[in-house]
Amino acid sequence: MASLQLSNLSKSFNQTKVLEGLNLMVPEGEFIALIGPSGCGKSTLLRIIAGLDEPTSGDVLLDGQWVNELSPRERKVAMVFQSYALYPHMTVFENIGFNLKISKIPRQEIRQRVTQTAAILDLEELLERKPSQLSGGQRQRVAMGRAIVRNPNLFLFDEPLSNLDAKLRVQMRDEIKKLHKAIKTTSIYVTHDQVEAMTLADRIVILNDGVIQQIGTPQQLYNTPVNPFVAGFIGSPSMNFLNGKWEDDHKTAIILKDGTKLPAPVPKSNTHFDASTQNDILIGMRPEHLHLRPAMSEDIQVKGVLDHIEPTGAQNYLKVRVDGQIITATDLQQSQLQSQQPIELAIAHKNLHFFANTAHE
Amino acid sequence: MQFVGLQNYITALDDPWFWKSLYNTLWLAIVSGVPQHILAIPTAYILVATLRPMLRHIISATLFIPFITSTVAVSMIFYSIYSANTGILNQILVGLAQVPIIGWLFSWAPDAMPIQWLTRSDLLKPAISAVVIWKYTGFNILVYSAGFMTVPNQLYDAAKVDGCNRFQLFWHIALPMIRPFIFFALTLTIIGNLQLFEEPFILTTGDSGGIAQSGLTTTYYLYLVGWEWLEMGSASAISWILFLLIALATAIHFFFNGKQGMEGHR
Amino acid sequence: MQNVKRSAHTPKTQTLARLAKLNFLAFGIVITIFPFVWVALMGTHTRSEIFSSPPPFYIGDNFIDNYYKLLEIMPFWLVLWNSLFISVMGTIGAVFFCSLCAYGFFAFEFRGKNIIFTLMIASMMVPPALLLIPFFLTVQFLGILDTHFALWFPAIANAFGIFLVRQYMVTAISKDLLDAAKVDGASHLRIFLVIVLPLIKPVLATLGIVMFIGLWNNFLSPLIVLSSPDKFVLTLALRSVQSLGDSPWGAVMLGTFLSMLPLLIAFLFFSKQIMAGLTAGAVKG
Ligand SMILES: Nc1ncnc2c1ncn2[C@@H]1O[C@H](COP(=O)(O)OP(=O)(O)OP(=O)(O)O)[C@@H](O)[C@H]1O
Ligand SMILES: [Mg+2]
Repeated sequence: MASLQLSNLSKSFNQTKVLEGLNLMVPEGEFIALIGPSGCGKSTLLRIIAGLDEPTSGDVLLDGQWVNELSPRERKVAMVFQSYALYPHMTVFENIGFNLKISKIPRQEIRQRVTQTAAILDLEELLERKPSQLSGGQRQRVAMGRAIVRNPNLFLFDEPLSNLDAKLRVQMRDEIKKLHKAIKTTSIYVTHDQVEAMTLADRIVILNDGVIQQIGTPQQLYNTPVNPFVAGFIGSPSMNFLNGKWEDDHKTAIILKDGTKLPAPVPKSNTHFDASTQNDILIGMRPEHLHLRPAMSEDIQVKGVLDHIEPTGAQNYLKVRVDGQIITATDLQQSQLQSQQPIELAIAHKNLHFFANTAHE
Repeated sequence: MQFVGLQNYITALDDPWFWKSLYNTLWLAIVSGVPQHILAIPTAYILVATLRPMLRHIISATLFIPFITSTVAVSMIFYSIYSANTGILNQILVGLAQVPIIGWLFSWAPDAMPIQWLTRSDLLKPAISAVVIWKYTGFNILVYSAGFMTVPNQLYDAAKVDGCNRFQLFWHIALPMIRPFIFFALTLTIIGNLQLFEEPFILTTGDSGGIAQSGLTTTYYLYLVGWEWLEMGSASAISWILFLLIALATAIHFFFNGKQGMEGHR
Repeated sequence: MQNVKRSAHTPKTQTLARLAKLNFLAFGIVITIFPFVWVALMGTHTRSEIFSSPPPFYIGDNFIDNYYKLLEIMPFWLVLWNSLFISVMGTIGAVFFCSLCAYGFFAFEFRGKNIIFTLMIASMMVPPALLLIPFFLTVQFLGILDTHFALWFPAIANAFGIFLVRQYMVTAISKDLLDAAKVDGASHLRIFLVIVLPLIKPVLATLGIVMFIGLWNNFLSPLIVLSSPDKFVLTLALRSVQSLGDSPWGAVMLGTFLSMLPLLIAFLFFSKQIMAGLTAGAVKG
């Protein structure tokens, strides 16, 4: 087990920058989820940590040791690939034991450790099979087994569950969680499924366009996203955004584009940015915080016209036209409503998010 | 070594044997090349369209045997088959003249005996061509079979629904679909046939290109000049001219057939 | 619609078409097989039987005599051994080194890789006849004229083989698999030997077949390289007895037949693999 530190890490392929100035400190035993949209550089980062690629600049430290120039073997990292990458010509036993064999571990011990690992992962019956004779879930477990048999410094997972069906995915997620509780190896887990990230990770790193957007616990990311990207990426359905301007210097109300005034509270002082210094702002509202009721104290009122309803069974999503755009609100009561009917939504002051409106200018 | 400018090329271009060899090469390339494909395409179609896989494999494997055997051995066999006085070919021709129904087709044969297949300047090239065709048709059948097998069955079904008969299926569906394979096989034939050596060399016992040099191909001549007469300079010139000939022929082929051939049906 | 079409073919024309087709195929097979049968038969006859009329379409009884006559006119077993030695050495060498080189092209990124690879492919387009003189001059310069080494060693570096194996690697081995092995701590040599080689066995078999057949049947390079009769390979030795005065045809044909026999027997058992191998370039396009 080891701690991992990345400092000022950058990576370019030819002229294209893929990662830029990453800094990250992962203490021993922590489970980090790395999420971000496709192509943002997650796999590249993981490969650099593993030692399969070299960074263009910056440092990788394991347990405080500079390891930039060490091979994967010397770093003692284990990795689970999205495609599993099982050796097709070897049995499950040989697959799991391959690293031990290369490390010249005595046969007796290999047998014992492989059997032990197989027991943890429920693979005992399958040890003599070839990968082609296994189901998707079983292959996934072999890939996991190949990693945990080694007692590595670091576990790296590159979307290990994305090839499984929904049910199996949930099941394997729980197993990974149990496993980490039991062996507590420092882990970096790449996914683009935010639920996976939220349920598994101690902390989540959000990456976009090769730049770290925010690092924090699942709660921190949900409650205090630092920018619209994070705010929109975490939470389902996504956060709604409205554009507005301060009405006057006293910052007591926001005027939307269609002229509607929203009486706004002074933004919480502990947020990441001082909304009062900006003129153009984005107001973020999570659908689950918008309630179908008149405003009470500490609430603001958002008025609109119902466009349509998306039922999901447990709750309805109301698609409401506000200020020339459609926003989503969660309706747990599943009220009977008519399309084109005027709607009044209320949201508590504490649930409002403010961001500088830069992208839209 | 001494630099002699273009002297070697001029010598080569002045040499009547060289021109003769170019003529023979082109003649053989065409006469031994075209029939390979004319035979192979329908045969492959019959194999793929009408035979069960097992039978198809046995037949195409049998037809493929000449391709894997050494050209020298094969030419030796044909050398004896073509033998004028007592070769089996002439004997069969005479024998056929006595067969009741088809005999009249061969009635000329007894009078023509002995036919000097390998020592008459007008028969040598056809005799060589026959060996080449015999040896390489099986290979082309295999290539075209692979081609016909890429045609999805649904396409035939659709065409049948549209009212195609068997010949139309072949002509309008199968043939256009294997264009890339035809293109590829033709390329191989062109490049290979312009370098023919072993068949004419063995059938003329390596003796200065056979009667009146009518079996002298350019590669054959290249060998004679370089290794029998030990004139490497002239031989080099010949090999460059041969290379240009091959490049030119390939370029012409690519120019006329390349675009369609390589794109095929996609 | 289909039924209507069907009924347009009367059973009679259908049978006729079938008959024509079968005759056509049978004719092709007879023409193809006949020279092989004929050479085998001739190997068992005396010269005068061969040239008798009607021709002897039966197995003769002169096989033993022909065999001794064959040993008289050429050192048959020595020559066979020479052919075997060259073919085996060249095949093993080519299979090993082509796969090593292909691994280099497959697993490493380096400056100029694409240019080198393209050049290598381009070199496959150069007609062999053009290479004859440079090959000979190189062999002469190295002082290895009249050696077997000059015949099998150059065959090891083989652009076609490297290309074939690399293409197979691309389809058969994922980059993840190489990475997984690296993470498992395997060195490149180890990855090559333990992971890659077992996975590319089919293409190695293909390449081996192509190489062996090519070397076994090779005539032109032995013709210009070898001069001592005791170094001759089968193809050379056969052609050297072709124009003996008063040719012992039974013996020559026996030698010819025996020289083809190894490949014919191999073809009997491995026809699928051999056919796939020899058309590998063609079918994959
Ligand atoms: N070897 C390479 N050469 C050039 N560009 C590359 C290379 N590898 C990755 N890239 C580029 O780097 C970017 C990041 O790729 P990466 O594989 O890290 O994305 P990712 O976040 O893992 O995406 P996904 O979620 O789809 O797996 C992509 O734009 C990709 O095109
Ligand atoms: Mg990825």
